[in-house]
Amino acid sequence: MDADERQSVVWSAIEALAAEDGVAPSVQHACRACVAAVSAIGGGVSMAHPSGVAEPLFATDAASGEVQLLQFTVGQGPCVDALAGQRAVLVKDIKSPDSGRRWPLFSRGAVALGVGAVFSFPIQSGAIRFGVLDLYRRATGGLSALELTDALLYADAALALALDRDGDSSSVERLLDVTFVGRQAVVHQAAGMVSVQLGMSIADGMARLRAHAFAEDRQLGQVAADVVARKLRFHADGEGTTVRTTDETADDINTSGDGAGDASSPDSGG
Amino acid sequence: MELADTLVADFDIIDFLETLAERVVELLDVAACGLLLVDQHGALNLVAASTEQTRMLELFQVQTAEGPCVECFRTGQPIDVPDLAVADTRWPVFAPAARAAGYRAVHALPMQLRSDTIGALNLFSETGSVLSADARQLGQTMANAATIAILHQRAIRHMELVADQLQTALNSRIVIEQAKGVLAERHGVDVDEAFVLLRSHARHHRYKLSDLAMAVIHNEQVIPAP
Repeated sequence: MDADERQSVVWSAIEALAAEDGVAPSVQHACRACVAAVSAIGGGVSMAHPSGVAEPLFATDAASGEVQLLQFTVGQGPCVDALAGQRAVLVKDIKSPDSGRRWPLFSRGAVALGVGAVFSFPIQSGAIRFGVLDLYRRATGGLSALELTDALLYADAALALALDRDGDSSSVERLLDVTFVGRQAVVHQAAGMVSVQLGMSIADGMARLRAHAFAEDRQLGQVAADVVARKLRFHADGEGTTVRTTDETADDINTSGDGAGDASSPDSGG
Repeated sequence: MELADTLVADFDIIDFLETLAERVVELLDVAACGLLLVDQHGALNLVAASTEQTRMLELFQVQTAEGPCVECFRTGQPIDVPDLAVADTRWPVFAPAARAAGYRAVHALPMQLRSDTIGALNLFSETGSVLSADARQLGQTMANAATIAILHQRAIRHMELVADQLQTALNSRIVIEQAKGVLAERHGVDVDEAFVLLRSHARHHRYKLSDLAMAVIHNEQVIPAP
């Protein structure tokens, strides 16, 4: 179908940029590829802090970094609202009276920096809030329906990359599962359960769940179903996580060696 | 009906859609109702249902790949299956699963904004039946109300950019699934019971379901064990 083709285009674009850099795909590549896909002049990714602040993490260029920093400094702007409201904020004319009323300091500053339109997309999945993907355009005007869909797909890809804590994003197939989990209630339920089992945030619970699925070469949905059916439990132990099946015939499976240990992930919220 | 609530700033879309699904079940005398929305990947996702039983949720989920909702979404036309017993060739996974769950008839009504279809309203019946013209009309009215509530005034006026609004509704749904898992683990209950706990606590204290779900996840609200 059409949507699946777009999905492939999105991941191919991200992979191509990463290949140019000679590194595994990361959130930065998702941002750069998105900027190119929607003909923006630049963009950036800000990371959500538990305090609710969106801190600039990456910008495609110096000018975009300044726009990002401006939002961070004055504490207002589309990025700030996208994070707080957990929804996309689409500003087709930053010079408009509406924008001026909503973000008096930011809109003035953005105009001075030569920005005409700003589009901010949360990088999130339910209570998992990684941050915000910003896109800046010189000209005023909105995104087309297709550009909007693309931007949402890139924001999803950015989340998949952000959740890939063991840093082996070289295999895109293993990243795709998370972008499709919206269809599987059981994955979100399992992430919630694992977060309680390990005493960590939902984001970390999801990361552990995925790390386990990858390590065992199983589908995320199957592992999640086992967790919800209480056939599988995650236990925190020193260096990492032990996963136990409740079936006595099966041995404990220790996934602490797969790099999903405690040190690898800054815990955001929860 | 409660549609006027959409004009209120702190309106909760999931609460509204769940209530709507429950009303549909009463008004049309069907066994279950669910609302599925398309996401940015072009796939259908459940956003609200009259019953949150896992068994039912799985029936909605099967329809992300095949079934009356997918057909309804693709064609923009209502799909009526008065007898699931003869639908195995058409939907080899969905039809047997729906029968095994005790349903004999299923219907899907399109959720549309002008020419765009954003999802489908799905009805399950335990008796093999054809929807009467009146029931069909009523069901479609409810599907339209759900569409308006999801898209709010902006898209209705400007005919544009609905994808982000669909995603916002679906994201609220994910928060609830995550909270079900958190509660299930904390209280040692299954996820179906966890949802009942969550919803009754929300209704009793007049919290928005999504707000309460988020508070449960962040351990800011404690729901007593059953």
